[in-house]
Amino acid sequence: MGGYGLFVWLSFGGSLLALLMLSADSLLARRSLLTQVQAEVARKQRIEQGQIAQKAVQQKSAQQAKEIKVEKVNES
Amino acid sequence: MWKWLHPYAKTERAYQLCQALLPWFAYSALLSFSGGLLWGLAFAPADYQQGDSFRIIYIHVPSAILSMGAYSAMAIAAFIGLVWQVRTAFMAMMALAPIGATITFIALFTGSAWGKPMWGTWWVWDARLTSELILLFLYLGVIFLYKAFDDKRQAGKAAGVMALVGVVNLPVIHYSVQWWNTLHQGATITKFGKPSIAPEMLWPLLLSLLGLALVMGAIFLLRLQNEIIRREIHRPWVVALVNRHIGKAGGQE
Repeated sequence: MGGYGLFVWLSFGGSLLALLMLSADSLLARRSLLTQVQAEVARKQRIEQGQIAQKAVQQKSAQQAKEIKVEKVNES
Repeated sequence: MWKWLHPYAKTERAYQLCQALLPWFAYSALLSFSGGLLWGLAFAPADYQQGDSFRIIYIHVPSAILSMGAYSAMAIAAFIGLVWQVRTAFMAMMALAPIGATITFIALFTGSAWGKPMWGTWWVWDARLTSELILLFLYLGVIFLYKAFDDKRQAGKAAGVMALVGVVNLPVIHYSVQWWNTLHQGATITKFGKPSIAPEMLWPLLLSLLGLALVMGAIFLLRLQNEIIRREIHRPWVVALVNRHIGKAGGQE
């Protein structure tokens, strides 16, 4: 290329590399965001489950306390 | 008159528009950009003074023109965001910033690689090169200013103001070769009057310009979608979208 080959290929190569890096960053970010959304959904579900379980435990212990009270009244 | 535009201020509609446009931009970008570069590298005639080194023009000029184009787009998005309080506009602004910074870097880098054999130097502090370098700093400034704020509404406003203030650099870059004594040559195509370049060299240049613009457009659509997901991560429509996406991927396997 008349001795200019280095500069021409340096330019084209460097530019394509920069564009590829930009595209890769954009695509990888998309992938990681989709994972994040899934993680958020899973986390919300766990919180909901936890709240339901806690409610059930509370109801059970309230029920048990009631039964003990009734027994005591009956005994006396 | 502009009522039809209003639904696109909503992130969901904007996301869907990006989704619809993406394949068009991606395929046409691939075709035109590679076509233009191939034409310029292999089929355009060599310059009688510069020989084959002038072929750097097929990346340098499109990237330089589009570095300013992307900045204008970013500034318009900033203006819309600031004046009409549209969050999606700030998201668009931040989607454009890294793209513009990359293209400005490419313009400076290829200019440097062209300058070394032709001018005998990688760099000179003339008006055009310096103002283009300032453009790169403006892009980086917008990006990092936005990152500095935790509250993204404030971040958008601050970065938006910076983007708008930087617009003054654009006419400086463009007219630098007229207003000052510069090493960089004058305008060849971005001027009134006939282009001072041979048609066999001009057409691959214009094709490369179109191609690079479409490449930047495609990457912008992708990044805007990312920004929307990032900011709207708790919204039900985003969750539904991701579930559909997972379902499709699972079905394909």
